[in-house]
Amino acid sequence: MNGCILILVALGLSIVFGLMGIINFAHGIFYMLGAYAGWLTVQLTGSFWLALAVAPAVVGLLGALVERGILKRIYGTRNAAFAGVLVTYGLAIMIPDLVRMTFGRPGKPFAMPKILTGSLFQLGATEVHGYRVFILLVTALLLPLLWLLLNKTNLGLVIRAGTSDNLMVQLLGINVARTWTVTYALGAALAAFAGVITAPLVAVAPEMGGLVLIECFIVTVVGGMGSFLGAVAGGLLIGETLALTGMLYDVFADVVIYLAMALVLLVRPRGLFGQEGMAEE
Amino acid sequence: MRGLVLAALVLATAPLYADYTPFYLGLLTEVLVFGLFALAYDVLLGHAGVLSLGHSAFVGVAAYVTGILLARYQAPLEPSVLAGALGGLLTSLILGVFVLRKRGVYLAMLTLALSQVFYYVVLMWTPVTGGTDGLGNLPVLHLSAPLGWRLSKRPITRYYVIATVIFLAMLAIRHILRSPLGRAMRAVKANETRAAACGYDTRRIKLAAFAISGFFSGLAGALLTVVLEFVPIENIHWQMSGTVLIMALFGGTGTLLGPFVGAGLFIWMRDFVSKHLEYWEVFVGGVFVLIVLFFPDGIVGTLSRLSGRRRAVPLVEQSDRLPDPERLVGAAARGGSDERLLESQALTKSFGGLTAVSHVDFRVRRGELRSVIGPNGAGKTTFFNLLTGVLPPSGGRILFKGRDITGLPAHAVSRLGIARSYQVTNIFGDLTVFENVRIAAQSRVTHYRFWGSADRLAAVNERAEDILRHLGLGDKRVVRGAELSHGEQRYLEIGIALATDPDFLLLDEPTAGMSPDETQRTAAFVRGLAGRVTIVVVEHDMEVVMGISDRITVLNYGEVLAEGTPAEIRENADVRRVYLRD
Amino acid sequence: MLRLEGVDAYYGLSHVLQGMSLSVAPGEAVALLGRNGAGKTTTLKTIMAVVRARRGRITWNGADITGLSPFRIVQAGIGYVPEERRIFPNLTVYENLKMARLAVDGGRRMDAYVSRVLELFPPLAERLSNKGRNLSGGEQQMLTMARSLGTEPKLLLIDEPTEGLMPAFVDTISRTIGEIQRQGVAVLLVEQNTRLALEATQRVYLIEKGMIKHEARSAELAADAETRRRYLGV
Repeated sequence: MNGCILILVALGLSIVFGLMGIINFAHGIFYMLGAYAGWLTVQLTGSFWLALAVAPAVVGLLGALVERGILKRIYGTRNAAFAGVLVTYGLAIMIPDLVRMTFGRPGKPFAMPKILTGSLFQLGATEVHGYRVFILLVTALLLPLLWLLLNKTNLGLVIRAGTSDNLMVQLLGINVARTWTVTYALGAALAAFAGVITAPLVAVAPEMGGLVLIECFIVTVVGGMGSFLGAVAGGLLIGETLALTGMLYDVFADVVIYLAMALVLLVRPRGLFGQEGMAEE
Repeated sequence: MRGLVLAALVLATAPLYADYTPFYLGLLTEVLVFGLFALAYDVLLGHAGVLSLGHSAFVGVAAYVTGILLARYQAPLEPSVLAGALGGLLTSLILGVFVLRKRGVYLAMLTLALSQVFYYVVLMWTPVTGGTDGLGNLPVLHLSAPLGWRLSKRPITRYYVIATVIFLAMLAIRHILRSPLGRAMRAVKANETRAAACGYDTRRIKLAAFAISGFFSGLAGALLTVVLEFVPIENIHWQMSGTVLIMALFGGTGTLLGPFVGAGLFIWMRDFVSKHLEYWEVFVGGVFVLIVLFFPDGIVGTLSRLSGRRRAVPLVEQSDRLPDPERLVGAAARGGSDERLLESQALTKSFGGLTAVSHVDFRVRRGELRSVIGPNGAGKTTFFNLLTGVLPPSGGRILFKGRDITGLPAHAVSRLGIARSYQVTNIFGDLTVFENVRIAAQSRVTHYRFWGSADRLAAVNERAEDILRHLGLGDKRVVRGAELSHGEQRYLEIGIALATDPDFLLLDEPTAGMSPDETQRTAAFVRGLAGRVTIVVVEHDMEVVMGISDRITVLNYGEVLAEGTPAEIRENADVRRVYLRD
Repeated sequence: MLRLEGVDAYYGLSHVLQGMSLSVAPGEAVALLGRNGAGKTTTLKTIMAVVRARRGRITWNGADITGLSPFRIVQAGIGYVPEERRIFPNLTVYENLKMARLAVDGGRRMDAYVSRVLELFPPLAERLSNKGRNLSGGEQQMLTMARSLGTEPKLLLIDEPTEGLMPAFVDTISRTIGEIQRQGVAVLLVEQNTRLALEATQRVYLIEKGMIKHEARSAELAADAETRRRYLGV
């Protein structure tokens, strides 16, 4: 799994966690839905580029509906955090089957846009594939945009403030409920975007979400929950570890990242850039 | 007892209703095995309050261990099953040691991620495990001598053998849940910080719960191999963790029957609903979400609530009798009165740039009743938290009976003989009033004993009974802690602290939120304890403070401003100035 | 303008406010005095709906605000300066201030607001781009007051502004309250510093065990040492 993709997915998870304190187990589902939305768009319009825009938009909207319709009911109840896990987990069980119902069980092939196929140039012994450069460029473009969103816009201001003191934000007259919906939708959209970008590399299948979710968890444990830098550093670290060890011995790569996570847990439980005391409860 | 006999009867006669057909018998057997898995899972979730999403590792490792022993080493059946269970136990211990560094949802996330390691091992190690093809080629299964019964292709025999094993396992789990360890687990679930403050090492208790859950999950996994005569890789896939969670929640956590009902329901959906609805998992997921949102007690739990199984206790007027503290304090507390029981030296605590407690020298003699007062923000509660090991100090030392206890964790401090009550009521809300006090008293006797009923600890029961009676809560024994009135909860608050038989008692605003009557009663009660237990009280009610204290310490800005008898403090100009800020 | 009638409030089961009744008229400065645990902070939190009122009514300009969410109460014109200050530690001073303006005008007229703030609290000028966690206690107090003023309240609830701060700061607070009043904003002040409280306000309530035990003009109480000692002293 590409480091850049992991960064994008992990960022979505981290932002939602930082503000809302929810570990969104449905996050992988949004990733998968993004891939499908992208595939559908390509089927209907033939345009990969349109798919890149439509998928996050549609799935983001879906995320907003989930937050408003379902998650909202658990806020403020006893054991809200657990209920959040269980409900999002339940969704993660339901939705893949809904997708199978609609699109069938087997995976869908997703053709890479012609411009990006083929290797671009040689880097030492390896060929650098055009699509991978594309992913790198897109991520490099998106990350600063996200950073700007978080640090230079009013929405980002409310998110950052709410991450440290939700009540005080309300005591300044701001309706946080709206911000939560938008934030959750943003997380879903990010996951969806990562999904549609990955689609040409892997089979678009209903099972996509599960694996990416677990890898995302590892990234956030290593990088630190609720931290922008943590998601980036973690994503890069895990992604590159997977790529490097993958070249040596395929399945071994996965075990290595678990060992990395175990090490971080023992030595620095809050992650590389996590804040002290985050996610203790 | 009745329920058990009924269950045994049902199990014994079930094949009748199944018409002895192999298909239904097989299904029934499978339901029982998954029921055991869900029950083992619920030991951790419903009883210890830990959500795990990694149980696929425990059941999966066990399934493969048993399968490998049977298939490759032609080992006899019983040891192979036992080895499987032990495999589950070992896996749960490994996982537990890592994930228990965290709590709550983070812990759940970790269990999910870590359980994947085992999946990958199975996936990679194809020569031994068969990889994605699964592990097959099991020999014909039969019990060892002297019984020697054949199980393969003998659905009836297999059913009865497995049903017996599972029934015995269920009895064992039931026994463990009623043991002192089982009760300790429930206390940890009900209020982890208070359990620690009573002396329980909550991390170890949760690890023990993991171990029990892991062993019996492993047993279920091993039995699953016996039933299927095959080990599919799905048994160790993370989806298995979701399946058992669904079963536990469907049936209702915290019950013995619930997991079996849940297993039955799930398997029914899998095998019968799926015939009509190809995408039955949508159905399952949907029901799951609905249950989480609207019926968190599951089927059995909701039914038992509706049928009023929880005995409705008539609301009794709070007794007017003044609680009598005479017999409450154990022999350990009496002693010479010149001994410096608790001492802090230059105790300091800073949070970032803020110094909450600054170089506090504090000495309390045995048998003394000391009040600590001071304006808001003076650092009183932080001081208490330092003394009880809840917060580590930034500087200075704490000595108890001459021994340095600085930096010891809360449960260790409690074991040494220091107990505290809290300003904001911190009782075990979900436990009965009696259990609140009993579990605290039990902490002096045993933590980890997992055999023998906790209710048989006579000395512990007696002490709990005494305390309740003298606090005037005797007639509320079976009421849930959360359902008491505020004043009664404040009494229970103190009762829990007393139950641990402390030498030293810290009371944080015992009269908080009490009516004038209750305040008076409490003050008299605390005064009555003095001389037998050493007490330090934080209070704001000046009448109370002046009335009961031997000496008073005044804190201001985290420092000791003055110390002396009530009369001295009243006359002290500095204290006046600080309080009135005229 | 603000009226509490027979308000009961609880922390869990702890009956902290028992039939609390008080009022604040437009433009008035009123003090709430009492010992610790008497219910002063809880009264303010109940008005802001941070703590739920179980019984009784809270009305604001005639309208019943008892069941509203905190953010609606702020939007209705009641501001709150919390006891713990609650500065956003990860945001700069400027960003903290901007947070207050979002619900008012989306932060469009920050310049005018910031210059008003700096007039009131000149020391903040050098700290505009410092993160909240790096401010001293006094600076944080100035910031939280400036921030709550930014929500353009008609009534400002201030909870123990001098707590944990150096004595010299007391004058700053006194001046600030005077200035706030001059601008037509009413004040409900909870304070442990009796002298400051009585100087800066016109009326005072004395609270004990969650209810009002005594009401007077501030000047009267300032001259009545006996009553002060009874309700506040040791």
